[in-house]
Amino acid sequence: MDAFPIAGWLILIVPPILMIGSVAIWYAREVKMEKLENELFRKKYDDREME
Amino acid sequence: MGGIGILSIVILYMILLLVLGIWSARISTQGSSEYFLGGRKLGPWVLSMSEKASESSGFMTVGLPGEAYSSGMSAAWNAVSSVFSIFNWLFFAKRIRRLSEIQNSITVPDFLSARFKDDTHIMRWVSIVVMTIFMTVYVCAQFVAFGVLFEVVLGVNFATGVIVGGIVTIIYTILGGFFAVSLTDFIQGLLMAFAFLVLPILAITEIGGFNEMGYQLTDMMGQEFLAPFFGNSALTLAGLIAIISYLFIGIGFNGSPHVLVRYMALRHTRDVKRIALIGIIWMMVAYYGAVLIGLSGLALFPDLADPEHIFPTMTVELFPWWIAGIIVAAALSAMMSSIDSMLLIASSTIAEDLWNKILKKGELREDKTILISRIATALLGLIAIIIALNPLDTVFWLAVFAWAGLATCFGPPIILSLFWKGVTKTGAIAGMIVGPLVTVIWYFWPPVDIYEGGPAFIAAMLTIVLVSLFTKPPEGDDFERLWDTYSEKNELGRFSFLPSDEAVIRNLKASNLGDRTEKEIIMELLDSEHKSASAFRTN
Repeated sequence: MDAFPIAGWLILIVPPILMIGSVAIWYAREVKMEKLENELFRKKYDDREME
Repeated sequence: MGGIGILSIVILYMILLLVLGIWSARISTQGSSEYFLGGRKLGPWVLSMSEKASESSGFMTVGLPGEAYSSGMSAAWNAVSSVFSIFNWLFFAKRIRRLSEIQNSITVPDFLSARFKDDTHIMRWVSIVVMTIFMTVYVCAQFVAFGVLFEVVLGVNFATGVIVGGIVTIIYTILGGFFAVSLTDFIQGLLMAFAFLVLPILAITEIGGFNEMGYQLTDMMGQEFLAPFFGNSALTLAGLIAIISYLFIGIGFNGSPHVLVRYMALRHTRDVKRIALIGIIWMMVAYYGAVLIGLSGLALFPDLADPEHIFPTMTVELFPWWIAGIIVAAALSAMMSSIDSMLLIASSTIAEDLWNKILKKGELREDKTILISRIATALLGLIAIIIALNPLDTVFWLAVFAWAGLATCFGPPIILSLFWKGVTKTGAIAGMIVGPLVTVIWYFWPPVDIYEGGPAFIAAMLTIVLVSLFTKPPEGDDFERLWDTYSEKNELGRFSFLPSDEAVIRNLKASNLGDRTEKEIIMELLDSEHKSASAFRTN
């Protein structure tokens, strides 16, 4: 553990976790929103068909 | 066997690329959109790998490992600069794709001209000049890296490496257009990930483990070499300036036309999230892999005359010839994937923006546009080869200089035009000139020793904002309609559907959306590679 200074360990570990984590969270949010969009589109599509 | 074996694999790899170029030619000759944007048919895996591979270049295989070899853990700040790529995916990619579909734009200058209704073509002229100059420098840096690799690994003369590698890349770009470039980038991106993962693991194992590497480097260089503060064990003002400098290199992601054009080539905006996830994982593997190659390389080969030789030296010394051949092919990939993208973007600008839109008033036949683009590719490539035979600087600094010139010309006007309706044509043009100008001045006569891309980007942004505030804002029914369509939101507060988005969802509807689970719906959506026909067509 003492082979590298703390700052050396931090720069190796923290940025990848933060960057991959933030994109993964955004990905999950996008998937959720797209599901809602699909529902919205279906509703509009059905309404148009009814007319 | 070693040298001949590696050479055979490299030759086979180059033949594979040429075959791909010829195969792609049948798609690329269908029209300008097919040649310049691959017909907007490429899926997220191909586009993501293509984006990353074309960004990476010889910077990743020759430049960054060399930088880690000489400056230690501080080189890891390059990996941190990936955060600018995240900004692209989260904030800019969907908007660029959306606006390019609404405006029918197929090149970056085309995009800017349509957004600012630039009938005077000043914007196109600035784009053409900046792209031609800086892309030639960038391609030049890649050819230099080519020569280094051929020289160190294959024992082939530097000039021969530059010429052979250059000609193969030019030929497959000419034949296959964006489709070939993206397909080859996909293979190249995978090969690079393999190299950046395997090479440091093998090297660290050879040293005796990660900790052992740390102890050896501390003995050789002192513990400050392993702290990310540029030769100090704690953060100093000079260290802070150097860190900012390294982070500024990431700004290039937000403005490089060969990166931005990939968002224009998306099938639809929903592909962005997948591209982001694949992209960020690739970046972390590649950037940290490159840094660890430099560090472990120093422990294993401490007496190299040129730090930029570390990647090829380790490849030849640590691997059996057949794996070394694959890794050399991966390193060549890093360079070729940038060269082909740069050449295609520069030549498409000359053919579409200069020849078709300015000289022929948009009347040029598509086959003629493609022919001119091919001739321009050949000419630009040959000029870059000739300059590369007598390089001005190291691969690392040549690449980041050109990276800055391009990014500061296109990044600021594109980013601001996506969010601010009030950006004026005069403001955008002023920013496009100020950015590259500050880049060049800062590179040759730096007032502070900081990477030129950062101050130039900020100067360009400020120029656009200030000039826009004091010049006539865009007006007219056409512009209002464009902006209303672009910024229209649905009930969920997200952008309204474009024809390309509707096509995707209609496919879901057709396949009985209501009876499916959420997972099935999403998986179908993501995997509907060839069902999502875009309504977009160029005129």
